[in-house]
Amino acid sequence: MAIPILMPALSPTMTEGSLAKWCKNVGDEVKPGDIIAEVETDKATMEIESVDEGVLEKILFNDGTEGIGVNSLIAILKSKNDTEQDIKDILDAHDSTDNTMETAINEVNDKEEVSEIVKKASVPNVKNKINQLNDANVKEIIDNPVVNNAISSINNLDVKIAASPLAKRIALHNNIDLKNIIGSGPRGRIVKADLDNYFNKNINLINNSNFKNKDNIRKKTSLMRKIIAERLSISKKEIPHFYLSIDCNVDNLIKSREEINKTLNKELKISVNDFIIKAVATALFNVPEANCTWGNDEMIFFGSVDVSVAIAVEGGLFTPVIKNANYLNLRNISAQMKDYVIKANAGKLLPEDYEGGNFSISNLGMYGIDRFSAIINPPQSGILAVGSISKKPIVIDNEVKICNIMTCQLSGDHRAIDGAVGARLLKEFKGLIENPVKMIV
Amino acid sequence: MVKDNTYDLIIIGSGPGGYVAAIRAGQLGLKTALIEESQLGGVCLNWGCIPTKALLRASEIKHLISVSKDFGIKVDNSSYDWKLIIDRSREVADKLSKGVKYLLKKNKIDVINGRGKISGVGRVIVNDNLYTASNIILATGARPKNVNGLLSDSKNIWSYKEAMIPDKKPESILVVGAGAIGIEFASFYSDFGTEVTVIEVQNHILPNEDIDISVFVRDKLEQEGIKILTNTKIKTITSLKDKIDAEFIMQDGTSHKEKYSKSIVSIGIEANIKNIGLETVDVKQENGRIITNHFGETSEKGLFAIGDITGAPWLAHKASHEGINAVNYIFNPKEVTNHKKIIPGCTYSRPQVASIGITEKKANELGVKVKIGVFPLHGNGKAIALGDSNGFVKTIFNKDSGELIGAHMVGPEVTELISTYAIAMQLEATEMDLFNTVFPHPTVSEAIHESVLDAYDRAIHI
Repeated sequence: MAIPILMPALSPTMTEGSLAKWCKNVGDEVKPGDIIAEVETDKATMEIESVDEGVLEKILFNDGTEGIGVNSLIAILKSKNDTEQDIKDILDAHDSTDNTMETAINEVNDKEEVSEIVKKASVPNVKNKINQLNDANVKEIIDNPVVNNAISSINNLDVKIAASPLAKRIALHNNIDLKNIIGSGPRGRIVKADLDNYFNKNINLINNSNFKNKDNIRKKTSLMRKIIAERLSISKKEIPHFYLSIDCNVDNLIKSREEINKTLNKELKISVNDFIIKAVATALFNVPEANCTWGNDEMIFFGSVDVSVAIAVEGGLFTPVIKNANYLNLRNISAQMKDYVIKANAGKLLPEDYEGGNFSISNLGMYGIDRFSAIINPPQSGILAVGSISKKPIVIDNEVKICNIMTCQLSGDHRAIDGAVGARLLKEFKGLIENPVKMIV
Repeated sequence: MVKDNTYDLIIIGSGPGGYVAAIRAGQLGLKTALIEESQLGGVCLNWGCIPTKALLRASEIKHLISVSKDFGIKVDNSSYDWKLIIDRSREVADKLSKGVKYLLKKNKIDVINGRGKISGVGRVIVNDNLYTASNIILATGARPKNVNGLLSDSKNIWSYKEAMIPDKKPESILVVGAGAIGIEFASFYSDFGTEVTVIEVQNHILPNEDIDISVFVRDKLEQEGIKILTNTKIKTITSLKDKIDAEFIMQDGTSHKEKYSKSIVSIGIEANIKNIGLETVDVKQENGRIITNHFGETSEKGLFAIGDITGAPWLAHKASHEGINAVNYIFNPKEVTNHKKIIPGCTYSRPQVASIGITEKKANELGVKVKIGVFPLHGNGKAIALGDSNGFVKTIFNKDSGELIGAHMVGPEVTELISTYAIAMQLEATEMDLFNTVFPHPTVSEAIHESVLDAYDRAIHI
């Protein structure tokens, strides 16, 4: 039976992918385990591996095609006994794939089951079959057409790179990502000479820049950048942002933090950011009118306080979510954040780590930024932009005192929350962050 | 049927570069012709590597008999037959030359007998017949260098060729040049009781080896009774009726005259680039060697050169490797990797010497910070059991990266052991990979492991 190859859904947020490169040509034999193509997702470039055997009969999208919908037919694998009609059947069947998917999803409620079907629904006339299904026999009828190992390996984003032990060590010593190096050894193995070349090129670049301007560098945008661009453009275009800022005296916080950290091991120490997460969560819990989202016909007030925290990574940012942050103690929040930072830098955050979230925190204090206006991360209604802590003179009881001041600025969606609600949220936050003891209650 | 003189590939010279390249071409299905004016296998097989190893095996056995009583074995009245020793050496060479003939036939190579000369791009003339090919590989090898007229007279002044087929063993020999060839002959003749003197113009014998090795080998050879004069330059050698008169200038500038039965001149070789038609093509040359790119291609497209004619090191295995690499490139340029060629060198004297990569001195010249390990074979169980623990293994790492940059060995069968280092270097193993490698016990190869460990102060048996 001819086997359709579909654009895989490599993450729950992925609705479309780019076909980075075909690794096989039409007419090539494909064996189980062969890499058929490379697909660029919003997080990484993944390889599509075949589990079936056959000849690559048809390729529907060329190298570099962008925006191919998930589950679109991208190629067809032909087995020995296939006829022209079998191939045509697949092409015909695929024309109705969109409907098929909808039907399938409507029929089955279990979320996992849906994704299972979406992944595997590639048999001709799947529509009728799925309509008759009950959960139990889904797996039997859809007999494993092209399963994508990339799906199972999405959690394992570091694709294996062949490099000599020496090349690996030189790269490690010089902080070079081997992904940037093209290997000249057998089967593309990276050897010392490739790193030498890489160094020489860089040295030449530096040397040349003394005498002439560098050329503009054109770099294809990654899917991650595109998603950031798209979502933030929509946010700025559609959401009427309003901004409220407030100065917080964090003398007590600094003292409390020192006190707490005295007894903690280095790797367990609580950061100022952990306090901020806890304070934001508690404030949102106390001012539930601010914990909501605008939905035209209806407003949704969230039942939990899930805080997204922006983490900058190379080429973009992630916003992993501390769920139920209002119920977590500082130590739990701190441990979760440390975990997220490590995962984010390794590109190993799971979709469930960054999906959801009711409100965001963006902290640029460590870069010395006093205050800034952040863009709301839809469908959320607010984001708190946290600035640096610096000593400033303030007047307390008619006396000038030097205190540690941290300026925080709220960006709010005016469709969902009004200035007064935002102000109450900020006031609550200020009360907590200035007196961290209150957070414990 | 008219014979078709058009080929995919013509190779001129059937030495270890040429015949190996031909077999590879045959494997790939290229229509290939191999041109040889003398014997299949070239100098290496007929007059070099192989027959000398047969001779050195004889001297080794003689030596073992002489020390047999140390092992509790008494051998009374042992003797040798000089002619049979030489004959065996020739038989070994013949056997291998026949083997090459068979292999070429098996791989459907046309062997053309005669001197091949290039006659313009893609054209070769042999015995007045024209052969054409889209690719040509020059593998014409090298010959003893002509310095100060010190050329063989085939009677008393020998090149390597005469030195391996004398009618009778000479009483005394002057070996001029203490490179691998000179030292091997010195070792061979000395073991058979010839009085051997070696003169070398440089500071050390085996001047390409690490100094520690050179000094060690010199010490051993002198213990065997070989006279070694370094920093000594030959002035003249005069061939008399049945002896030679040699005049040389010592380190202090004084001139000495001495008589010897024979002289072996081994002061280097020069590439065979004359009279092969190079003037009919545009081939870049430099200091008497042909310049090629990494895949052996000369400045003339479709014309390749491999082995000795492309320069040092003048070693058979370098030629074979370059031959295979060139053929692979001709067949499919995309399939060939631009890998580094790390060529090990071996000297089969007693004691044997083997090395790869750079010496400690060279590393210092290059300004590389090094970590060096040395392991003496008297700490190696197998060597002691063999009754031959004279020797050591020296390993040099780049201190910063852990790159294995050189290895130098002296002792029993070290020529068989150097491949371990060759693999490690080609795969770019670091010290950690060698630490992690399990070496079998009891073997002399354990000394490699210990030497590596010693570079990081972790050796066990010292």
